[in-house]
Parts: sequence; structure tokens; C-alpha cells
Amino acid sequence: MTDQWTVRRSGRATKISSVAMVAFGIALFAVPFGFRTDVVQQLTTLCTLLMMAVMWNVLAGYGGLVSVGQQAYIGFGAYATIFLTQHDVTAYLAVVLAALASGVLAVALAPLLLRLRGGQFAVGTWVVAEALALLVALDEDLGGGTGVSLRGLNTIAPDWRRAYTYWLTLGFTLLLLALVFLLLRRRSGAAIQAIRDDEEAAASLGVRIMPLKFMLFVLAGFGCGAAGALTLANTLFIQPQSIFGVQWSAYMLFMVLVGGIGTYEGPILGAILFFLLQDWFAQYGAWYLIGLGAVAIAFALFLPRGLWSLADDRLPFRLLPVGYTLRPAG
Amino acid sequence: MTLLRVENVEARHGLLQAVRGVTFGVTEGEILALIGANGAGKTTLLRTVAGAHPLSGGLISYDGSYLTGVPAHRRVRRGIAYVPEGRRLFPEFTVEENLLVAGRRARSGRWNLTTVLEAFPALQPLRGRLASRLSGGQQQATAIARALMTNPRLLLIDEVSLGLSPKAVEEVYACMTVLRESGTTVILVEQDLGRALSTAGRVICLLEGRIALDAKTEGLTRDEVVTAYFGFHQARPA
Amino acid sequence: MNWVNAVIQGVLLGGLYALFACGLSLMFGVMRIINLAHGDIAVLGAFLVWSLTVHTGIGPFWALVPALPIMLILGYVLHRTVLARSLRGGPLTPLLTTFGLAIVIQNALLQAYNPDVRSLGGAAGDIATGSWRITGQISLSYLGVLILATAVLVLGGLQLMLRRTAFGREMRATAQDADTATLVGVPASSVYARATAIAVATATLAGVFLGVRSIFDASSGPTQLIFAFEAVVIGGLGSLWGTLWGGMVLGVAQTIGATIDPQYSILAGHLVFLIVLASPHGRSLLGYRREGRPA
Repeated sequence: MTDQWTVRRSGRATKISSVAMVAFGIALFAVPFGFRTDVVQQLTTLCTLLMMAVMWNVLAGYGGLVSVGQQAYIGFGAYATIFLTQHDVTAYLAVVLAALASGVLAVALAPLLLRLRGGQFAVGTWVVAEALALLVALDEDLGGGTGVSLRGLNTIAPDWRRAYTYWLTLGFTLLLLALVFLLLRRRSGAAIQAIRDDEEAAASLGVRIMPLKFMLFVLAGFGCGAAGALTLANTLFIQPQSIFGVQWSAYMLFMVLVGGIGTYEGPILGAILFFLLQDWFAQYGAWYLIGLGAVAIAFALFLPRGLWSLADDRLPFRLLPVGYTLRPAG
Repeated sequence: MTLLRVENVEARHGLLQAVRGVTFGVTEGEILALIGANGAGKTTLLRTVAGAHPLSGGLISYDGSYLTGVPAHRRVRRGIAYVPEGRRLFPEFTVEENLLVAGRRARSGRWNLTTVLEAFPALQPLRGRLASRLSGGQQQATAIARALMTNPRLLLIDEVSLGLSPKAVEEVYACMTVLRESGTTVILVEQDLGRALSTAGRVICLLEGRIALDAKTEGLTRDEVVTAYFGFHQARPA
Repeated sequence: MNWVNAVIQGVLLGGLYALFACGLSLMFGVMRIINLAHGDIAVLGAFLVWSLTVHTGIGPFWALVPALPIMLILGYVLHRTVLARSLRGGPLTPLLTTFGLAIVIQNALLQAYNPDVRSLGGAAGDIATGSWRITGQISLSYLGVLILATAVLVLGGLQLMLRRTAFGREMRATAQDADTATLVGVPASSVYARATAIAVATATLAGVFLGVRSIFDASSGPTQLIFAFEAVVIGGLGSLWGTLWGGMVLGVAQTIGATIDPQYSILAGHLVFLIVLASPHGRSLLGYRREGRPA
């Protein structure tokens, strides 16, 4: 990402940097051919975290909807994959279908949850996640409370299995990034900006908030469902308490707050940082989590626009043309 | 004795500079009218004095000390009361509760629930009525009475007669007599120039955030006021 | 008879939930924020009392005598240091910070006390186990009645404070219009800090009752927050007495669910909550109402 500094003119610079980033994203598909499988698996984990961060940012950063219950979709996506494979669907197809099913779940829940505002929405989504976790734990076919393994992938050689999972995860990640990009570039982008700045003023200016929130909510459901299904494909085993655990929301909050809430690039930065921190400090257990919480509070209070704002203010151009007034020159 | 001194005060709303380097003093017991077109910065100026709007430049001194960094509720305790535009009564409180909540931490002085209700006899029968069920004039009277409960030395009244019926305006200005008699210093923002000039002893006209006129009302010609108000000479009808 | 018993036990349990909920309700009523760390603060209070009982040998109710003032101060400081700043940051910031706070408290407890499950029931003595036998199948536990009575007292006391005292009037004024309140001399931030202090103290009370009644560990907080929130929503946001009914409805739903199958207990509560949300009642409760009174 550093080679773009040489370019001066903002329009062209942004264009070049976007092309470079897309190229970089596509180049990432080649990773399994050049790196060890544990790297591939790590990158898969990073991609699932990135998906979650981007989706949480879609809700909180663009829609003003702070959710403490996105783990509902993460868990639902994972368990839907289990359910589908138990009914003789190929595992990777099941992952895709499960992500779509999570989107459908979001469609069903939207009328109930989107009427809640602020903290009510936060806890309301959480209750839904808890209820789903309890329901899943009741079902012995899904392994009950003790957990369940994903079958159907053990016929594939481990190296290839990890590569396939990685490719699918990367594909989903790029798809979600593209969807959010389109969302910001089209007319909805201006509306999103308006809502983010002042929801009531936006409503009074005729911005139709509900359809937009609905769209964001369903997109986040779909994305988190995919992240959950892919987490399962990566780890092959899940338990309801952990896949439906509120710690996912804590992670998402951390990644988005530290990276930069309401920005396109922030959550990506936050996910990478969180991934590294996880790698370095997770061994410290509770202390690590205390640190995460404290850092998140500090960012919310003292640097509410996150680390990306520091870079963004200094860069002479935007890395990606997501600003709604931006017109690439040329 | 100068009670309030405003020196080079500047205040902004985001990028918009509403008040640009305003300087004036107010003597104890004076009634000062602040006039000017919409957007001239009158309300913003009043709010910066009350502590409800941040100062972006300059100094305000009151009773011999600077107000910089003094939060609004402390200014109230030092005797600066503000009657906001639109009255802003607590809608779920009765008239009496509106008065009592302001009186709780007040300076000591002549005003308490009994004396305020004596001064505003019209409010006496309305004591138990919810503020949201009062007429505009009753609301304004309650808002001024509420401000008096804090025993102010300096009373800032924003948009005294805006949105009131002519009769209500009469009633509200009847209150001014009470204020004058009690020796309270008053700065009032008023759109009705005739009212402003007849009530106040001195007038300040703001034009685009600056003082365009600062004069005694006595002997002030209509021409001078209009020029300051609009910023140019109006052609006299031939 | 089984069902009658379930309802009675549910009503008693509702007292506990109402106690958890009233602090949440108070903070929402006055400051319009939902404190996502409320449950963890309650558990922190329970741990504080547990430590006091272990180190001094006094019963948990006596331990409340020093614990409640400590938690009051903690709540006050919490507002002055963290919440006051987050309130200035826009509507999302308090949610983000209190959620961060929840993570910090939970893991700090985990670090300080290990993940073991604890109970204050043993230290509480007879009151934790005794009961009045009404009929063969129905009994009223001393503790259940004590908790319900405490809840009624606390809610009634708060109601009285809000309605009848000058401080309560300031709190209601601040809830209606904080800006104007400061302009008539009410120090809104100090009102907020005291509301937070009261909320934290009631949460502590609830946490201790939870500990005496059953068990708790470092990660018990989120569940209690959820129950408290459900009670608040079922009872009607911003209404203190409604919170008591809400707690009872939730308690009865859980005990009836448990009578059918112990696994259904909590699920039944969630279900009732979601039904209330979906109903027109829920819609009117949660509409775009900006003004509200905390009582």
C-alpha cells in the first residue's frame, strides 16, 4: 500500500490506488500456491474477522445501529451449514446456502428489531442471539450443547481443503467489500452519509431511512452468516456457547472502533490489527481481553474516528473512491 | 457600575461565524434592547453570555471577574438568568414545579415562590397546570417568572414577544415594569422595534455579527435605527 | 397445583428482576442511555460482598452496609470519568463505551476471582433456605419474599424521591430537557452522576440477592443485563412500577417454562419478550418518543 505515495494528483492517485488494491485482492488468491498451510489457515481466519468487522461497521458506522447480537447470524450461518450437510448438501455449497439463509433470517427479524433504537436495538439483537443459541442447544441432531463437527470435508486432502476454504473465504470477503463499495458509491451513499451525520435531519429532508436500514441490516446478516459458516469450515467444530458468544460482538466493536467507525478502510485496518494482537497477546487470557475493552473505550472517547482518521487526514488523496462527492479526474 | 462587559466576543456555529468581535458594557440597573435582523447574531450573543454557547474568541466579564470556563449552571448561581427563545418550559411540569426547580439552588434575594406569584398574579390560578397546556403568553410569563426565581442581577430575555398575540405581548411587557422597579439589569432581544425602543433605555443593533449601532434610545431617530438595522440608507419617500 | 406454584415462584423471581431492572430504567429515563455494563456491575457488587463475607465472616446482608456506599461512590466516579465524556460524543458513544466497560469488568473479575462458581447462600444462613409452607406443593421462601419486598421498597422509594423531593424534581427536569435545566441552575452532570450512583447501588443490591438466592460467576453479568432489559421493555420503558410488572411477567414466564421442561425456562422468557416487542403494545412503547419521564 506504500507504493502509491509517489502519485500526486488526487483523481488519478485514487484511481491507481484502487486498481492496485483490487489487483492485490485478486493476487491474494495465489497464496495457497506459495505459502505453508498454516499461513493459509491464518489468512482464512483474518478474512472471516475482516468480514465481521466490515459488516458491523455497515450497521453501526453507516446505519447508526449498534448491535450486540451479530453473533446470532454467525452462529446461524455455522449451524445452517451443519444442518445442510446433514441433509446431504455438499459442504461448500452448504456454506453458500447458509450465508443466504442468514440473510433471509435478517429479513425476517428486521421488522421486529429495526423499530428499536439505540441501546434498545443493541440489547434486542442480543436477546435474539441468546434465544437462537438456546434453541440450537435444544436440538440433539445439531449436537445439543456439547458441539458438533462438520462432516463431508474430511474426504478432501487437508492441504486442498484449507486452500478451498481459503479461496471461498477470500471470495466472500471481496464480494462483501464490493457490495459495501457499491452501496457507498450509488445514491444510497449520500443517504447513508446523511443518516450518519444526523438521522432526524436526514429524515426531515426526505431521506427514506427505513428501507436503507433494512438493506444494511440484511447485508450485515448475510455477511455475518457467511463469516460464521466459513469459521466452521476453517475450524471444523463448533459449540453453541462459543459460536453464539457475545465475544464476537466485542471483537467487532474493537476492530471497528480502533480502525475507524463509519469509514470504508477503517474496519479493514482494525481487523488486521486485531488479528495481530490476537496472535501476540491471546495467551494472556483475561488480561488480553481487559486490554481490548480498555483500548476500545479509549478510542470511543478520545479518537472516535479511529486510527484510519489519522492516516486519512494525512494522505493527500483517498485510497478508494468511496467519498460521495468524489469524481475521479480523467 | 458596569455589571457586564463583553470584549471582542466571537462565536460560531460550525463554520459560520455568528458573532464577530462585539464589545459593549452594561451598567447595573440598565435595560438594554438587542435588535437586528434574523441571523444578525443576537441569540448567539445572549447564549454565550448565559454559558449555553461556547465562546470562540474574546472575553466576558461579569461583576468584576471573567466568566471563561464557568458552566451555565454556575453563572445562574452568580446571578445571570436566561429566558430562552421559545420559552423552553419543562413540558411535563406544572407551572409551580417549573418555578421550584429553578428556585432550588438560587441565590438568596427578594424572589421566592410567594413573591414571584405576587408579581405575576396571572400565574396564581395556573399554579397546578401543566406547562404544555399554557397559552403562549402564559408560557412567556412563566418563563420570566422561572428566571426570576433564581434572583438574577442580570436577566437575558430572548425573543420577548415572538409568536405571542398582541394581548399577550401587553401582559408580558407589563412584567417589565416589575423588573425595572426591582432594579434588575435586563438585556432583551426584541423583533418589534417600537417595543424595544420604548422599553429600553439603550439599544444595540447587530448587523451580520457586528455592532452597527449602540445608543441611548432617547433622541434616537428612526433613520439612524433603520440604517443600522439594514446596513444601508433607505430612500426617504419624497 | 403445580402451575399455581410456578406462578407464585415466578412472581417472587420477578422481584429480583425488577431490582436488576430499576437501575437500568433509571439511567435510561434520565440520560437516555442503556448501560450495557449494568449486569457486570451487579456481579461486581456481588463479588465485593462475597469478599467481605469471606474476609470478615459477616453475613452478606451486613456486608451490604459497607458495600453499598462503596458502590455508590464507584457509580459516581464512573460517571464523572467515563460516562460524562461519552455522553458528549453522540448517541452511539455511550453504548460503545459501556460495552467496552462490560468486557473490562467481566475479565477483571475473571482475573481476580478465577472462573469458579460462587454463592452467598451459605453465608446468609437460615434466611436463604427457610420457607413458609402454604399447602403440600406451595411454599413461600423467606428469601423470595424478602427480595420482592426489597424490590417494592426500592422502586417505591425511587418513585417517592422522583416525585416528592427537590432533587427528584431536578432529575426529572434534566430528563426532560438537560440544556434548559442547566440554564435554570441545575448542574445536569452532577444529577447524571448521582443517578448513575443510585443505579449502581441498586444493581449491587440485586447482584447480592442473586448470589444469596443461587450462584454467580465472573460471566454472570450479561445474562442479568438481558433479564433486566427484558423486564424494562415488557413493563414499558421509563416506568418504574411498570418495571416491577415486567419483572414479574418475565419471572412467571420463566418458571412456567421450567415447569414444562427445565431447558425451556430462559427461552420462555425470551419468547415473551419478543412477543411483547412484536405486539402493538411494544410498538407504542418503543415508537419515536423522545420525551419521557423516568417515573
